[in-house]
Amino acid sequence: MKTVKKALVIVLSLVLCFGTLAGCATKTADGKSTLLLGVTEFNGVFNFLTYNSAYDRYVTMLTQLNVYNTGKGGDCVDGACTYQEPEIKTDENGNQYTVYTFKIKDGLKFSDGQPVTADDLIWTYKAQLAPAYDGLGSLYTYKIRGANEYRYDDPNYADAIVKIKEESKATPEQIKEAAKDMATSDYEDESYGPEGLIEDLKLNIDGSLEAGSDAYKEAVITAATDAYATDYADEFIPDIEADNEAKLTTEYVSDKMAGGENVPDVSGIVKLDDLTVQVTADGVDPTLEVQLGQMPIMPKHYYGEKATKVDFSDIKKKNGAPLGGGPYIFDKFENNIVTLHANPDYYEGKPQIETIKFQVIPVPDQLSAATNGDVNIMLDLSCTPDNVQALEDAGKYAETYDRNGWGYVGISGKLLPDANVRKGLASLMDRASGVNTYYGKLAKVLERPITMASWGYPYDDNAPVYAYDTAKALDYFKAAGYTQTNGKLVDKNGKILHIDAYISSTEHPVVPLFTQMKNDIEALGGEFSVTQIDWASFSEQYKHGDLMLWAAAYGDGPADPDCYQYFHSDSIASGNNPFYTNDPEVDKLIMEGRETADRDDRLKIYAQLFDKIMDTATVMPYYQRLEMNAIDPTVVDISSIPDDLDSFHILLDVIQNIKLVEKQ
Amino acid sequence: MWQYIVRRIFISVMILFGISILLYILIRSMPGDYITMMTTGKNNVTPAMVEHLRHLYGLDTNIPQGYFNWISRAIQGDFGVSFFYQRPVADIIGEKVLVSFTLALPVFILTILIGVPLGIISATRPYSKLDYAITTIAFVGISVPSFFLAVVLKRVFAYGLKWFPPFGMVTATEDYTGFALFMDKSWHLVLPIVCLTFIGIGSYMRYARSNMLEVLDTDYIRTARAKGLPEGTVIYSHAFRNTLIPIVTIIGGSIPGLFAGAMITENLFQIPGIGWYGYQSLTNGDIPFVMAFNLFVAALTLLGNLLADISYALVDPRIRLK
Repeated sequence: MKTVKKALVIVLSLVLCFGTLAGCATKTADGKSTLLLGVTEFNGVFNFLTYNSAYDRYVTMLTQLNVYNTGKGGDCVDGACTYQEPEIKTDENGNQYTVYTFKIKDGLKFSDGQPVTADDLIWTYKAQLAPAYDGLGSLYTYKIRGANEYRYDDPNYADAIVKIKEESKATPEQIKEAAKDMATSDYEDESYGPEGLIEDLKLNIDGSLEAGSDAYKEAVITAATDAYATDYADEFIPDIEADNEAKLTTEYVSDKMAGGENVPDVSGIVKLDDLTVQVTADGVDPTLEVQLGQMPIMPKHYYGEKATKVDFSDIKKKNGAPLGGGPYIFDKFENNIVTLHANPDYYEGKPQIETIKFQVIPVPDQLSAATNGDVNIMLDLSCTPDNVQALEDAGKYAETYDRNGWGYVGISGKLLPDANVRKGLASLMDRASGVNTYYGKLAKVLERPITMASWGYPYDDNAPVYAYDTAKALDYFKAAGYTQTNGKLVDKNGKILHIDAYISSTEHPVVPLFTQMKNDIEALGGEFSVTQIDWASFSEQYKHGDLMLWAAAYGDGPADPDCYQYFHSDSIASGNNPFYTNDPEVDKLIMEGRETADRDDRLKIYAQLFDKIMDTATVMPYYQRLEMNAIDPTVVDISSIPDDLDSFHILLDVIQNIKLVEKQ
Repeated sequence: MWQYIVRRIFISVMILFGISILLYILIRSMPGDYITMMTTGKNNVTPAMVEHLRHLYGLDTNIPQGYFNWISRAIQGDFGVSFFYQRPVADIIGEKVLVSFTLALPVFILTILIGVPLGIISATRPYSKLDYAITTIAFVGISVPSFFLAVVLKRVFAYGLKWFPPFGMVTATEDYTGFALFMDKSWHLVLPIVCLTFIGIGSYMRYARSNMLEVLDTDYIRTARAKGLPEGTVIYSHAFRNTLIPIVTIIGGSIPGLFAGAMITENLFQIPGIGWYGYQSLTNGDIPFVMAFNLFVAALTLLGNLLADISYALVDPRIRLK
């Protein structure tokens, strides 16, 4: 026993000595001001062209010089270039095109002393259009003149595309194949089967064939195939032609993306002088200005030294050592801490704070780090009532604003094709209770499928479309052909209404909502199951449109309300429109919104569009929550933080002007 | 002995090859690849982008073609570039393994220095209160999940008593260098080391105890006592050496594991080691990293088994390797 005691005492003493000895260590700090910010993670990819994490993007924001800065509401304001409105022109054939002119201010330099010139801006644009570009930007999807010729290294790109479209036409054999697939699927559908096929398609089947036999199956499928191929060919053709076009395009792309320097430049990106670049794009696309403007000018001499349009390996080697003309200069990334020092040559003047450090803090420790003062600013702290209270109790300042994102419940137009069923489900959502349960007063119920942070949110026209009303929901289900029989909600075939709902996390704010929906549907006689699946499986099923009802959120999008990617019917095939919103009126309004740059006109169009999307009942907006940064007012001078910050014009955009509290 | 070693190395290479095939098939079969997870929910992603990204990342090939592309480079030492971290996988593993080793080495030493003596003490006083106390501590250590212990340690010693920092490798607000940096890192590693040591001592303690009990029951120990030797000499000169035989083999087999990382502990204490990076790569479908990291761990495991077998032959003259 004595030996054990001795051993334990020695061990504990050693442990304590470690701690005290460390506390006695000397430091080499230079005594200059340092601001410590907490973030959730870093991948170490501090490169605008290749980053894949929002937190890595924070580092590029502070080290790079933007063409235009991001103002309140996501608008473009002066940055390295003085803001100039795009010019919309018309050519001799009556086609509109847009000209963007970017004039770099005189005397700007990168942090290594090299001047910022038009060549750097052109290089940055070309890098995003290059075939080797594998970042998340989508500049190459815009109609910049000459971009596709450059990207595919083919001066005859336009002719190639015309040829692909001609060769993509659906053949009768393909239509028949698609019809056969549908007939087989319907035959094997337990709720439809051969009886449904025979009745709906008025098939004439030999009565001597035994139901259920192989011969019977073949006869029904063959007859159904012929009927579908004749009467429903128009429904198959778009998908078939899209597949054909995708295959031919893939072959063309694979062939062309391998490399070459036949087309070294982009004809629509022109250097007017050493400091001026002009970009020309076909048509009018109000979202292109942000793509071209709210991005950094990267130093060609540093990143473009050895890179080619098909080989970015040299660019990626510098992912961990960014160079730019921003307010801060990158020093190092070690031990999960990024260190930046003020750039004395920054064009707006040397920043007030000499050193900025970002430290990775695990999510469970973020609140404690903020309340204990382990960090001076905790970025993106979860904005919940408990966290806000804890910050208040600890005397910390919570900077909040509407998050650039919105939560929703998706209702699949593919798996629930009857609009009345979808409307019934929408009417069973007590969203106010769900939001209040999870967020308290820190979130609002959202009534339209767009974030309130966007200028496109129709504040004047956002009355609820589907109020929580179980009686109304039952009316919708009855309109869809359901009846309540023996306490069960069944369709004409006696099948109970069964809804499968999916979430990717049990910590999700939709949990109280789905719990309430489950109780209500079961009270009506239906079935409602909720399954939690991991993010990888969720993403896969989301992409394939295999989720019947699900909860998710969009976030970190542009301020522009354009929603082509996730509500246009063209986006269904790519998996970006998992709602299967397939409405010609919605498509039409989406395109109208893209064809004018007049903001007032666009506001009216988007108000109509969002009403129409709500009418399809394929998406139910759920919540608009707040974003929060926890700030230590004993370190940061709160009065130096501008009061016009929002989710686009964020704290990091103005960090060079933030002051620290003067220590007495 | 050399023939045995060569044969084992050859078999290990074959096993690694088989593991690589199985790993690749599994990871390519998992739902949601890197591109899917990167682009899901992003509202500026077009089908053309997705196709192009899949081509750039080699995800537009079938599994056999993809595996062939990977193995033909891996054989030449090129394990590819991490999708997620955008750096050569070999560089990342080389860096992060050292961090994990920094954490694992003191744990390894302390675990042996504490676990083995406790086991010996427990065996020399079998079924006594001391024995039961030590055994209970051992079982608690074996049973308690590392994440639970880590959270408790943080709550008590970091947030409660404020004796140690709750996470990180260094004090972010300071720019220590040299010895000061070493001491700062040591201070930050105290809690993770205590966590992993407590969990690890149980198994060594139980091995030592059961081996010692077995040895104490042998004839030569009975003879030593009968000859009138002091109990201390009996325990530490005679019994202890023979007790060490299996323990040395276990130690030898554990050495490669020092480089494999501790995923949960590294995450909770924000130690940027290889365990945490391996987990991130798996959840993000980072195929090059997952392949290289898991093969690395497999190679370490095979090496550990080989070292254990060789150690056994070295310490026990009765064992001959053929």
